Amino acid sequence: MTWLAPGYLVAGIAAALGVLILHLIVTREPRTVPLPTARFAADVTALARPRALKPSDVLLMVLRMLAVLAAAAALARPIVHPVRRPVVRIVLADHSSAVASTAEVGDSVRAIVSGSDSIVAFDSTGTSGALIRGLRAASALRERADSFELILVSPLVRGQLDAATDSIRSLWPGAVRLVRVRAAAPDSSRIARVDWREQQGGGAPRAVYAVSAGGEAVIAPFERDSAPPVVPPGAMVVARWIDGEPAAWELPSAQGCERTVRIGLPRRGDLALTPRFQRLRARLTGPCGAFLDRVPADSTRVAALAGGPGRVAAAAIAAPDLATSRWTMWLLLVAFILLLAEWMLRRRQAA
Amino acid sequence: MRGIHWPARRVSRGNLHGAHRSRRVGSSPEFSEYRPYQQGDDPSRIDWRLFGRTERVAIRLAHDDSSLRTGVVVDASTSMAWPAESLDKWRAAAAIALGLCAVAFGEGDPVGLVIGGCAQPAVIPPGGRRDTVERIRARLVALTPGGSTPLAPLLPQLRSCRRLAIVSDFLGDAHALLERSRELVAQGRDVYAVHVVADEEITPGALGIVVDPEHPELRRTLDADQLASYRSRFESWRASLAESWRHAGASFTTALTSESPDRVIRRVTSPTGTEPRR
Repeated sequence: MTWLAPGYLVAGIAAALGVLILHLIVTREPRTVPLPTARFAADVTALARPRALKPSDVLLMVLRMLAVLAAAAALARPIVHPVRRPVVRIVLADHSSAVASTAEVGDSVRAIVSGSDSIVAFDSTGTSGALIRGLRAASALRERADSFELILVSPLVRGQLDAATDSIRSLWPGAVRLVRVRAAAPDSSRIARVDWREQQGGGAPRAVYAVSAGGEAVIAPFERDSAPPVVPPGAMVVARWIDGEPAAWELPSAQGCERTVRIGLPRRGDLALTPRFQRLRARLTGPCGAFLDRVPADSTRVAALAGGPGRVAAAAIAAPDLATSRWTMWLLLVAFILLLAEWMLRRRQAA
Repeated sequence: MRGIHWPARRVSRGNLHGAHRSRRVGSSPEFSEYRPYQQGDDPSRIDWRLFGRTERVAIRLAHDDSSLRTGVVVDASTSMAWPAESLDKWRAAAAIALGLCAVAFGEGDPVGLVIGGCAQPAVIPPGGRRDTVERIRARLVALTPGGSTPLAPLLPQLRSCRRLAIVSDFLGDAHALLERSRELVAQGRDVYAVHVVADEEITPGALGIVVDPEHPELRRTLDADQLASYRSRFESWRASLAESWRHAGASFTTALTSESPDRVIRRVTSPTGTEPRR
């Protein structure tokens, strides 16, 4: 068992010792007893009780100490370690439109994984997004394995590697085993339908947003949905807002593809006439698959992606930032029950 | 109480025939003196033997025995209802009061009782009926002590009594009681003070903040360090109390709750104030 925040446990032990000390040196008003001849006692006030070797109210003290320790243990977030496996494989499986056959990807994944290996599927997020999700998966599993192996099952076309890929790749200290599958042929089919929403109401936009698609970016007072849009499964995001939320996506259909654009255009102004917006509009109304460069990636970039010295030890994986302990709630509940019992006992003694 | 006698401390002026020496002279067999016959005397009381020997016409005088109306005042204030669990002080006071009544009644004296200090004082006027002692016993048994009314104003209720016993812890209106008793003694009455003291008052078992049950605002600290001082003060007060009552001409007896009531009664009724040898 380990503690995610052991400082709380140390503080809790110190607080429990403090409770013990307080019970040894506690000063309180002595109990009140009737005595008809009280007038013959000296008229002095003595409220303090001297230190005692035997703590007062042992049961109360024990309840208080246990409550403090339980609360401290809950805040310290104990983790009970599962049985470690020698190797855990994290498989990044590509099922984007760049893949010629998802069945081939499935076969490759099945040939690799076993037991509690982790499979991370990705589509339009590209290799960068897949690597980030792989890093998170390794971090979440770092207590369950001695070492990790990262495997990328993908056709590795040029459009899946972006400027951030190399930087993200450097965060993984070991090798990335690349399993290449066939890439889909370039798609020249015509777009079947573009669903471009219009601005509602015609009023003033609430804010100025930036949207980017295929390398074209426009900053304008667009209207944007207050809630993040729900991208249907299998769709490829082709445009994003500046904060990464999807602004347009493309879903394959029997006639080619269907593209949904959730960018509200302002009715006033000359935005639609600007060259930058014209280029953005041309990208968003272009043929299917125009957003993905399906040419195989350069061998240099592929080698850089694979590089590194083999498997990665668990110790080299960063711990999750927001690790959780399933014991926390139970320990807090125990602390609450103990405090409740302490209150009831104190009330009974007062009565 | 059988075998205990409670003689008067001074010559009685009672009218009824009883066990106590009276100031009246009468015709009992106990000879006192001769007095010359005067007009109006009953001729039948002339001592003809004396006339035959000395030719003096005189009548024979003798001491007469009279009864002594006895009243017992018992304190039923809150301070007597202590310790709360056992009511030892009240039990002792009630037993002593009942015992004194029984002794006096056994000698033919009319007895009465006043229960004071409690919320509703009770008075049983002096009487010599056969069930008087039983009535007194029933009243004492039925009473639950509690209250803080003064005792001194109740003493006139027993103004007809030539002998008065006060059973109390004297923690209430002790000074007023003493002054009133001093007047009664000056009027020729016998006054007996029985001071009821609980053993727990001499050596308190529980220490802490002690509160006077009759005066809750009186709170004092009594810990192990203060105990010796407390006992010294209490002892000094008891001695002072006894001295002031004796100085006033009253009999003063201390009754501890651990003592048997009959031993206390023997001390009270003894002319010397000590327990007589059996």
